[in-house]
Amino acid sequence: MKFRKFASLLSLLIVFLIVFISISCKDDSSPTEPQIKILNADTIEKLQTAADKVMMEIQAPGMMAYISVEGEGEGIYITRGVSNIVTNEPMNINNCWRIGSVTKTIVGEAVLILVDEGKIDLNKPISFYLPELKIPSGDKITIPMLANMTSGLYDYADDDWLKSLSDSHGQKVFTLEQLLTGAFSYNMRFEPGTKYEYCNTNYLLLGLLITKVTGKPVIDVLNEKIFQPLGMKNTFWPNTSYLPYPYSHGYYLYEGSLLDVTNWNPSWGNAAGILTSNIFDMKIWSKEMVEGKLLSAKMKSERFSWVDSEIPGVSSSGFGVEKYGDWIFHDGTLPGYNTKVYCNTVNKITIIIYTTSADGLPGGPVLVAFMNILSPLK
Amino acid sequence: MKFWKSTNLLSLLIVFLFAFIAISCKDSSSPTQPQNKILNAETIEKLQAAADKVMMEKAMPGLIAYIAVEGEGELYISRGVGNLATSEPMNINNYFRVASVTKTFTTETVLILADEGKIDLGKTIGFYLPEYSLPGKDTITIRMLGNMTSGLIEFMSDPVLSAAYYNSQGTAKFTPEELIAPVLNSKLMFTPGTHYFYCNTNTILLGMVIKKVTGKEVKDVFSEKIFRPLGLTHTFWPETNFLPSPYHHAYTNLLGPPNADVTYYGNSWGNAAGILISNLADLKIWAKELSEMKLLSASAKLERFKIGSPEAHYGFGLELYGNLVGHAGAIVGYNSMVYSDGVRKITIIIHVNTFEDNPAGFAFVEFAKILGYDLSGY
Repeated sequence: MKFRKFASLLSLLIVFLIVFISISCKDDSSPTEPQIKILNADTIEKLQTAADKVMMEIQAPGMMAYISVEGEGEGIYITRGVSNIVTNEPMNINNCWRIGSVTKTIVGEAVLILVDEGKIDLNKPISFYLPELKIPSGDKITIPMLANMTSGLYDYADDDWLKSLSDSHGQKVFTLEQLLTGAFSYNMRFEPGTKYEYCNTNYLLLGLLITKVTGKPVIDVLNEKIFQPLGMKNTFWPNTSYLPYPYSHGYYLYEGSLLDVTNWNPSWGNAAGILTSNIFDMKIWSKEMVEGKLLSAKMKSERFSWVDSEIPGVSSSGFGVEKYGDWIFHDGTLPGYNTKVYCNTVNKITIIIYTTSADGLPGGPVLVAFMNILSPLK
Repeated sequence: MKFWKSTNLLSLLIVFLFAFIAISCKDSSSPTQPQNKILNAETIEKLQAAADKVMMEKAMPGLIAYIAVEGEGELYISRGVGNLATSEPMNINNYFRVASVTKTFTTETVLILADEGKIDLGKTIGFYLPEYSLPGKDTITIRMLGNMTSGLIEFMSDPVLSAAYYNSQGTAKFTPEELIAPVLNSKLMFTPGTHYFYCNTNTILLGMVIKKVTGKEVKDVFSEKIFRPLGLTHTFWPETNFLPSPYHHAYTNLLGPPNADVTYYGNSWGNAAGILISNLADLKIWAKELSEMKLLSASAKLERFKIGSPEAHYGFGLELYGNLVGHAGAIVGYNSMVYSDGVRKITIIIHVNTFEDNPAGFAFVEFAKILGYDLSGY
């Protein structure tokens, strides 16, 4: 009996030894083994320390991030702080949140897919599809102008929607008509196609365009054309004030009061920023955002045909995506939520960041802290 | 059978372990060992009973404490809750606002800079900060700011400033210049150097001097001169009104409703006099430094212990109760006591998540009594 036990232990040891030897053999012989150049143990420790430091500097109770380098493993998840300041529940990577304007990257891709299907013609002006809306300069604004933010339309999100939203404790539901009528009552900001100016109105129109040519709600088209093919099971278009469980709370410092804005109705965002998602879906999406596997070669080049944006010569805007140096990205900012989805096309680095407040745009310092370690901007 | 065998092996291991411990204990032990132990079972029982007693006698949601005698052991105590909404128990790992304990960091930094020849304690505030029209600026020395004999008025008593702080729910941010504004062109309370008056203005000014002579932010000088050399990785100068997790909630009755949650009352107006966040793990290192002063030269150590006026047992940013030295901290919702004795090698740290009626101070007197200190003369 004793001997048998010993023998079995011994055999176990031998198995371990063999496994170990085979692993170590593989290590120094096989050239196909992932070579960790960027995301090594040292870098990961630096990222963790940077996360600690930056949490003391940003105005957000909680943060989560995903960082990966193509060919260097699964990547790492970082969480800091709490997802609920009443219960002190720690931030959890399973939590979903409102991704805000990252919605635009998905809507932009849906439009391009419909172009591939022959349902939308990029050369036609927006008034061709939506004549009933009487869009200012609608016959001069093309679909790409809407997508790359050169339409010249007035941004409804500059209007006083935020005040009426907070006055209603976040419960006011906005109709597309209300949002658009507000925006269309202003003069054109500039001649269509002559200048870049970030504008949420553009994406409300792209959403309406999708519905017009398919006869379906935007979310049905996103589900069918994007979420299902890519396996994004955690991205939703909420029709109520609530988020799917589990979620993090969002906080907003408004006129000296710290408000829990988790359940502020997101109706005002519509196709420009209504979606909720989680880090696993954002991970899938970040890859598609730069690879465009659902698009034809022609539409892929349409997605990445750049016009100068905020800093001419440095930053540029494409069809639902933005570019800064080697990074293709999009931010999402709304009260209580700040999201950053950044992909470096040269180093193949992906950084996704989410903070539980948008006050002072906390995602920015977190991103810079991580970039400085991984691939400093030149 | 198998079980028997493994227990046999285990007991053998334990015997070895004991033998090893016995040997190593013998190696380092002094001849006066166990019978004279301060932190013996009886003392520990008394301390635990005292913790129960103070919880009953003073209204406080929760308490954490650290008591150690070098070479004998350490004792962590926790009582009550860290969150009245969830009844989450108080946790010894929690971060909290240390309030005026910050002054010990600021004054130690001034002494280190004096050792480096960058600050002369005998020079006046007018010499370092000539641009401010402070009363008595040509007679108030750096030394008087440290030992609280400057005669300057308390800026926190200024009705405009304190209204700005409380009306913003503690989220208002202040620069040191804004904090000392009410002091400019005010009248001195007494001739500098003749009386003791504990006042935050003095330490704010020391922070401004640190910035002036180093050209760096005070928090960066803290990092360089104190946090890094001592390995304080849990001590932060927050830029926001949030705390790193884990943390407990802080409560006050001062604002009207009972047990108002003031956790997110950031302490921007504390600045160099009271802004820091830390935890027991770091404060136990810091408490030791307060009595051992390893970062200071012999002359700076003398400065640290030199009282400014016989009216108070207060040295250069340090309370002196015989050999037991340290500092108290109190800000709305947070009350701390951080002390150590360099001769008897005793450390006492207490933190309570409310500050009315000085509950941590009450617990400190009780604990100190059990450990053989008579503080009735102070």
